[in-house]
Amino acid sequence: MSARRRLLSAGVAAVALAGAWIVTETAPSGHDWLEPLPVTAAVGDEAVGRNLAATVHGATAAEVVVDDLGAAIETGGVWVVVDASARAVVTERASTLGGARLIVGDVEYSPTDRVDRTLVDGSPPVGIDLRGPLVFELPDVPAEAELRLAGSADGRGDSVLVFPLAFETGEVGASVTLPATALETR
Amino acid sequence: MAEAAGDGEGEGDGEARRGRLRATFDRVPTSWLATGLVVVLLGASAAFGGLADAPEPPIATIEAGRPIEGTQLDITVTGATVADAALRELHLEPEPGHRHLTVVAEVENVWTTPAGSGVQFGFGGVVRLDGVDDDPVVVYDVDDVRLEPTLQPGVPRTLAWVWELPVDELPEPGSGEATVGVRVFDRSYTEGKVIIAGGSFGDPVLAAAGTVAVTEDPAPEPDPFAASAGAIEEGAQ
Repeated sequence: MSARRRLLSAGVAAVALAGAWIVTETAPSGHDWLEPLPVTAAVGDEAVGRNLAATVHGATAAEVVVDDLGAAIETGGVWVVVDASARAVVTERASTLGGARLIVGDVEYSPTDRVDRTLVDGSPPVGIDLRGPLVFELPDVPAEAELRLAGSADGRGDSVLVFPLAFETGEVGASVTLPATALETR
Repeated sequence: MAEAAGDGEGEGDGEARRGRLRATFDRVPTSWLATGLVVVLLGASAAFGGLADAPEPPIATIEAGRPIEGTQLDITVTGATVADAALRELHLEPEPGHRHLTVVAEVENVWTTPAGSGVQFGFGGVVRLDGVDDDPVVVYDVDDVRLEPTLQPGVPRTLAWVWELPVDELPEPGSGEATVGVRVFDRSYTEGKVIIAGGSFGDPVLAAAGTVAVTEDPAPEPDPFAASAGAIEEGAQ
């Protein structure tokens, strides 16, 4: 075997190894292919996913929330109230915000079941924004959090809308009056 | 020399004995050897306590006000009551001859995801009564009077478990010290990705047991709706 051929074999082997390494590194591993597809938007901008489009208008923290019927609801922790609007994109079938979650670090909060008639109880229609509050019950105010909006808690293979939220620490209002969930004309 | 001769005879005897021994050994079926070895091993394990009962992990004792720490939930049983109707607000009335036994506990979700609701898959199997196989009729949030609550991480709530039991199976708070045996279970976490999505808590194991004093719940205020309905009935008669 000539020196040239030996060099060629070594080169081919090196290229094959490098190629295999790139494929291993970049291919989805395990169940990555099932992961939801994030669509990120800042507060005030609309994020559009497969069948859910939403805008976050703002977020506040309060010790007491007053619901649309005037009942004051207290918590041992703190309420985080997100003002958001949502619409369906392609179909109104199973159009909900059932997969709404507030993520703080590794901890995940679902919209509280202690307040009725919020945005999660509504069904966003196609083309018209449904605007209302999303209410979360937390132990204390986080410095930053991530709001994730999806139609279902099982978000496999679907889009998820991601809104990074920031809170000034210590900024807890005494009370927030929740607006009624209603359709918004554009 | 006699000694040497004796040695020589001894060697000859020894060889013959070894030969006989080998012949005997060769006649033993191999399977006997395997069985014998297993028996010896099992016997040794039994001698060292292999047949003794495995020690049961110690469980905590429930005392009113003492938190029982679990994987998902920290549960502090605070008391138990009996009442003719524990939950008029939830329109829950016991059958004739039955009363409601309610166990109340402060519950904190120490896991990183919301703790789900429901009698069967939620908190129903977490607190149980000694000698009662049935699931509680309802689990509800005491302050909100809300069924099947969801607990957010780090935000403790007061929950109540309600059983409907025949009067003769219930402790009578009037007669001396009335107590009821309560058991708290801990559950382990399973997470699925393909066939099952997300995680859930199941497979409950006994974490704590003890007795809780039972008090009589004050008789509920007369239901104005029932009174007026009675009045209408009387009026009709």
